[in-house]
Amino acid sequence: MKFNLYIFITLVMFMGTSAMLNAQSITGTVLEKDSAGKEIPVPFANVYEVGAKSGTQANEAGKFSFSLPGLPAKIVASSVGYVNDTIQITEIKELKIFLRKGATIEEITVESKRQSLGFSTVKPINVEMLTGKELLKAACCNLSESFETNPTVNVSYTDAITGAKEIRMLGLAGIYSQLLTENIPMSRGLASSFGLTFIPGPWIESIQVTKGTGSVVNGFESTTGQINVELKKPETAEKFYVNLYEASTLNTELNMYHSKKLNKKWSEMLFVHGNLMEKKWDDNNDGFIDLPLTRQLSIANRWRYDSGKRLESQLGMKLLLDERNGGQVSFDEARDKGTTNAFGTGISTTRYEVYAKAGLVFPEKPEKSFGSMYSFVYHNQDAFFGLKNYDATQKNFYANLIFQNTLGNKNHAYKTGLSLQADLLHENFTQNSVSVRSDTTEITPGIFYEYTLNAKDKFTAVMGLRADYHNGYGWFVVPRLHAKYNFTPDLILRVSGGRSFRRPHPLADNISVLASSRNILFTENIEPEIAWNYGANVTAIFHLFGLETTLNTDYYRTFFVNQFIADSYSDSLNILFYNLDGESFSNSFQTTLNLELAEGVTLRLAYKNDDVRSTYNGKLQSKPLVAMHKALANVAWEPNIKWKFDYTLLWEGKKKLAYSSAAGNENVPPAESPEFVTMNAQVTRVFKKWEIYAGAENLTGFTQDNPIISPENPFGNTFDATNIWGPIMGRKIYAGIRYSIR
Amino acid sequence: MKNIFLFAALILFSINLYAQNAEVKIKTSAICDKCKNTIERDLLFEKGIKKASLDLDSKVVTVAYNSKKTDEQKIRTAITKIGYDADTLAADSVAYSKLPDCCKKDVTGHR
Repeated sequence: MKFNLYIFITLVMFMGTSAMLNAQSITGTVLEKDSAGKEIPVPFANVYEVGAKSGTQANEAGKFSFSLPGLPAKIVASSVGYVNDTIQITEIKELKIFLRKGATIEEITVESKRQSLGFSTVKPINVEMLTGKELLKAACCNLSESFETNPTVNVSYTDAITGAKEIRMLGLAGIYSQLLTENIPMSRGLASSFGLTFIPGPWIESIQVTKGTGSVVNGFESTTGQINVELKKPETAEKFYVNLYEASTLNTELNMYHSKKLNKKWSEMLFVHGNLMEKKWDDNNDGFIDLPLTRQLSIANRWRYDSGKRLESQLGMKLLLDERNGGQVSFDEARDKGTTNAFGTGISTTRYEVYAKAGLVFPEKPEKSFGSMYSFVYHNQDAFFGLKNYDATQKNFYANLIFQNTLGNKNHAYKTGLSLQADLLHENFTQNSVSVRSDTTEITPGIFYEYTLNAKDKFTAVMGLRADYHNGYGWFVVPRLHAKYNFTPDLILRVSGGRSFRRPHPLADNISVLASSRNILFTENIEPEIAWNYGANVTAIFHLFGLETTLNTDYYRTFFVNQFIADSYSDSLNILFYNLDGESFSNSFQTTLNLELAEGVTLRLAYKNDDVRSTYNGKLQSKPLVAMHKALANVAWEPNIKWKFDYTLLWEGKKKLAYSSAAGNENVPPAESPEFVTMNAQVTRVFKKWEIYAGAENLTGFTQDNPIISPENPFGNTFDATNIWGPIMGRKIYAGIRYSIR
Repeated sequence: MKNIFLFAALILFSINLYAQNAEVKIKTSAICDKCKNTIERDLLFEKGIKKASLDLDSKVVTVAYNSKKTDEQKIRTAITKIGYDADTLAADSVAYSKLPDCCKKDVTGHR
């Protein structure tokens, strides 16, 4: 033992000395090519070695010099407004690093590590980046599955009938986080219950998950976080791509896209997606189908224009048709809808959206730019749940104008602009043969200013303030702060805090409550939801036995000044909706360890603790169906480019169930659900143009007993399909092929 | 669970022990990022090749390979079949004709 220790110490010392002996001084210039191909220097870029402590800032003429511990080494050059460049250095020579201008409207994606789940060490905001590699870990089907290997965002079914899925961040429902596609808010109002299933997985290029309060540039919502989805882009995507997927549940999916450069300035891309599931499964023999029958078709088309000089523009449109049917196996829509013969549900959605973005860059001053984005969405949803009906139409117009520049030098930057959210919502709700119609018009213009202070790369602070005027509720002021301090390049502390505001749409936000015999009862008028969120995060990158390890730990607290509560505890016959009177909060702690066990083998371990409580009828109680403790383990093994193996284990602790009135009934669920474990696994074989994959979800086939209460009497007053705490469907095996032309 | 990881790690290490590692630098006719990505990716599908990284400034691709499974000449041939020159070997004309515009030699500049 002693002997080994000596060897170890000698080795460490030897390695230390050799590193010192090998230290090399490296010099070079950071440049860009202007439109005429002329090389011009990029001033004040950051240049540093990947994962190491050495680094520097280039001078005004783009020149830099610093010492490297040894060769070969990877160095990164980055500068605001440019795409980072990582280069491998194998010999000492005068370097020339060329940076390309970043896209003008999108945030710059800073890639300091090429891991599939990247924790940024550069951004002041706590952002996790899910790249294409991470997204392929879940072969099926849409955005909601993309988070299967991600501990930050939890996805669960909201009821046993509709297949609606809800995300949770920091323990709170998805409506409190902001879902954006390419920085345009997309999942508001009616889209909040099924929005996740409207973005097919293969269309997604990457996802950025921001924890804690978001930037004021994207609006007044985003209490707990932001999820921004970047779709494949015509200038970088494969020329042609097709994915065919089939599951043991007989769910078939087909995705295709095609990208084309039309000429020097224009490029175009067309996406098509369809999925179909028409088999009625009832594995738990409760008379209800376990998975809704689904039919979805969506088509999207996007164009990009790049003048090569100052103007850059994008245009796009999307069309979506979605139908999902659930309920009793015997239900026949033509015969039984509107009767008590059999219980059925149907939700059909038509949605189209058009958007445009235009950006102006100033080649002589790269920090300066002007960006604008506009979108129009039409969303129609016709839904029935037994004898209840909910038909609604929403029209939304959104505009956001952003100007950014520096104040004097690059250490002081700002973004400022104007925005507009306009919504027209028509709702028609029927229960107990009584119809209520409501029309809501909301117009919310706003103004924002965000200042970024960058002090010697050690400290960055982003201070934002926005003010919005809502036609019904008046002025709202939203202050937000993000700050980051680098103790070393590999040890980073971030803090954030901010206010948010949101107009609740109780039925659209909680559509799953209709899958129960309980009636919806509004006991008060809707007041806007106002919340504060603050928290801190520590990211540490270190080498454990020579293996690269990332440890990310954070704690966030959200508390509501007002919340529109859906109370399922207090009244057995009704779900009560009212404004918060008392406390409502969520305290969320999470720690994630990513480590490379050997070359090609990565392990991720995560633990999460969510304490979410609200005041229900004067009593502070845990929110139903939220697990306080959760853990995740994921192992990925890539022996070479040809094979990929992936395995995920999820553990969820006990959850409190929503109160059920069925006293004395043997189907009454316990007050708490049991803890459980689910597993997923996947294998991919990669060829030059083909990829074949196969996998299994819920490997052990664990399912919740009695997901529906009183299934034999769906029109009685104890029927309830909303107490969902675990999987409803057993093991699902799937396989598929992808083909692409680069 | 722990045993599985140890086992997997062991296998990986033993594979590394038996391999005969070698490295070669080959000058190619790569022009833009697309060329770089194609060469780096496609080479990994060749038998015995473990790593490939291309430096666009010098156009040199550095290939790490197992000398028991392949040799320098086979690697050069593989590069020509992707559509690029490899040192003195000229690119396969059929593969070259299928390259994206920015990777063809007569076109200068890239975007």
